[in-house]
Amino acid sequence: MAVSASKPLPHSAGYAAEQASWRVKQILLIAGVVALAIYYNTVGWKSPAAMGIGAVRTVPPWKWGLLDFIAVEAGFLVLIYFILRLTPTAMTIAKATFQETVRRKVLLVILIFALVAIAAVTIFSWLSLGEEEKFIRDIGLGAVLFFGMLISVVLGAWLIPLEIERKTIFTLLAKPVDRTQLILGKFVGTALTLGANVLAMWLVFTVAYYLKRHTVEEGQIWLSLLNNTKAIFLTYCALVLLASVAITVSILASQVVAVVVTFFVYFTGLLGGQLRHAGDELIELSKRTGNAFNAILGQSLKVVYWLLPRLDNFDISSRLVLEDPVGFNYMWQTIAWGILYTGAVLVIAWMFLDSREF
Amino acid sequence: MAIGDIIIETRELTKVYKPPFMGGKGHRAVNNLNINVRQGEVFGLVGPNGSGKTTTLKLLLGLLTPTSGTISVFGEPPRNIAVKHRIGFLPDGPYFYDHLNADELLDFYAKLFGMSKEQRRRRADELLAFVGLTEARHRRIREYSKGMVQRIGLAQALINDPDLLFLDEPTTGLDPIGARQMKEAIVRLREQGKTVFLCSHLLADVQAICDRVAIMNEGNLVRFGAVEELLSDTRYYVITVGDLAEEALGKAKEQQLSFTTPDQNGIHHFNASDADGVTRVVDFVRGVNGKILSIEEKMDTLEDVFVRAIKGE
Ligand SMILES: Nc1ncnc2c1ncn2[C@@H]1O[C@H](COP(=O)(O)OP(=O)(O)O)[C@@H](O)[C@H]1O
Ligand SMILES: [Mg+2]
Repeated sequence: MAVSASKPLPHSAGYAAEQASWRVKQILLIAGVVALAIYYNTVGWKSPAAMGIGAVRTVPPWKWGLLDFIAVEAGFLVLIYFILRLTPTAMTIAKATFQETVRRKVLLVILIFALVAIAAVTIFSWLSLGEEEKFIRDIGLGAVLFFGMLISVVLGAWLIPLEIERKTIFTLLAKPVDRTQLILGKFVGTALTLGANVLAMWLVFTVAYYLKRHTVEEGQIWLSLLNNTKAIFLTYCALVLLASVAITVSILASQVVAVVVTFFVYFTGLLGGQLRHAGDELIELSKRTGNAFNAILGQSLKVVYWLLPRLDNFDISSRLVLEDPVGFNYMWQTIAWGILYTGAVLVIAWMFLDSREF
Repeated sequence: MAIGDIIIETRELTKVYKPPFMGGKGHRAVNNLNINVRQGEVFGLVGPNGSGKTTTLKLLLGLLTPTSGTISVFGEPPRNIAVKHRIGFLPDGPYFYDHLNADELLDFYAKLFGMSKEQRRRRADELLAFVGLTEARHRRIREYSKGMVQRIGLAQALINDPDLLFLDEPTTGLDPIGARQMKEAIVRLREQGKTVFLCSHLLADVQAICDRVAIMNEGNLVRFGAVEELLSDTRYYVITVGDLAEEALGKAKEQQLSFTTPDQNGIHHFNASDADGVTRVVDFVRGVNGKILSIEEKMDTLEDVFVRAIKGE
């Protein structure tokens, strides 16, 4: 005779207390998101430098359409949903992932290179021939993005494969951890580790920038530092997005493929609008010359453009140099797209992880 | 739920590993397996390397999806999270987050069960004492010997006080003392009322601690039953005899008695399969004025049964 009765799960009073304290944290986080949403929808969207206004840009401006409006509001909802879905289990995994990855040697080596490079920018700024501010920003923020990208690729691509290789995933999945929580926890842990790395880079860059520029800029220095911080925060969001791509590809293919794909996404994603522009030009050209090949190429470029994240929007160093203000609306519009993109990528990761065998 | 109820059941369970690329037949690692495990027993899944034991275990844990057939664990499909609250698992050649120490590792796993801080501490204390790692609890797992890793592995498998424990090759690779401690731990767990499902190719260990076994070979079930039952039809007797004359041996052959050639001391060993056979040998030896030195009851080991089963006898 087979048994089908399930024993009630051994939940204790302590467990209920932990659940309750986690609920409180969740509610606080969600309240924060709601506050942002209220701010955006009342005041924030009118802040200076709305999408495509005023900026002298090398690519055609990103036109503000209905889709963008939906995306911006959906970003809030997805973020809230994401926070709601996190369980104490996911947070336990996130914390463990953070503790483990933050001390991974490869990452520390990359970080040290990054910090040295960022600090060195100020030393070599005499090379800039007068355009010191531009030079420091371009190279410094560029270094944060580039080294950050290396860190997120290494971090993301090895996250799950390492767990499989070491067979620790067997013990994990034999515990009451469903695969949604596993992927969410791993992702949050990655985001935390990236955060710690970016924070270190931000600190070094801020100190270096201050030391080099505070006598020149005087009263302006704090505004400059704030702008740098905005730039680095957007970079961080782009890095989280890249890491989610690396995690996903590593689950459905392998580490190496994940590295290659993420590099590709990074480089072409930075081209962003230019890709679309080139696509439009090619289609125009084919209309004039009747060359079907150009039309196909142009359309495929536009398809690639739509599939790729707009990383160029996350890179605001050139805007800053042009004194083009970066308002809250620009920040959030960019981040909202990033959230939607990351969310979609994570859903794919979850689908593959769920059907995956170990 | 009472002792003896079936808590794991597989029906026509089959797993074919797909080849990495399209085409090809794939590898049939488990073929039409029908086994069941009862509450409160130590169940052994035995078979040579590559016979499909670990594959079966991973199917039972929901780490693999069956190609066909069904599995029920506590009446539920194995991927069910409620099932995970009641089981523990020690993988083959386990590896843990080795930057942690034993305390931190157990704390991590305990958190996954939603235990409170105080419960986690108490449970870690109990388990570290149970597996004898209390002294080493603050050392990193990286510094542990293989036996210690296996013991912390057992501790993490027990973190939720599971009703059902899955152990993959728990004694393989341990030194004799470590293997013995592991076996003693398993016996103690059975006494606590836990059901243990273990995979092993070490037959002496399985014979010593298992109530029932399933013998697998190349994915097929070749024997299944209580250890005693599998061994009981292998009982035989050896009668050691001295002072036999040459012509007496001729008579023995006529009577179709089975015996060995004498050793240096002129001692013969006669085999008999049952009590009647023993009487016949004894009568014969008396008739030819031989000396009976001893009569011993012998039994095959699980290993003998196993080897014959694998050879298809
Ligand atoms: N992931 C896998 N992919 C393909 N074949 C596998 C895989 N895992 C195990 N096998 C094969 O399945 C058979 C059974 O393996 P396994 O269950 O590990 O045996 P055991 O645990 O009894 O030693 C072996 O022939 C092994 O090579
Ligand atoms: Mg095995």
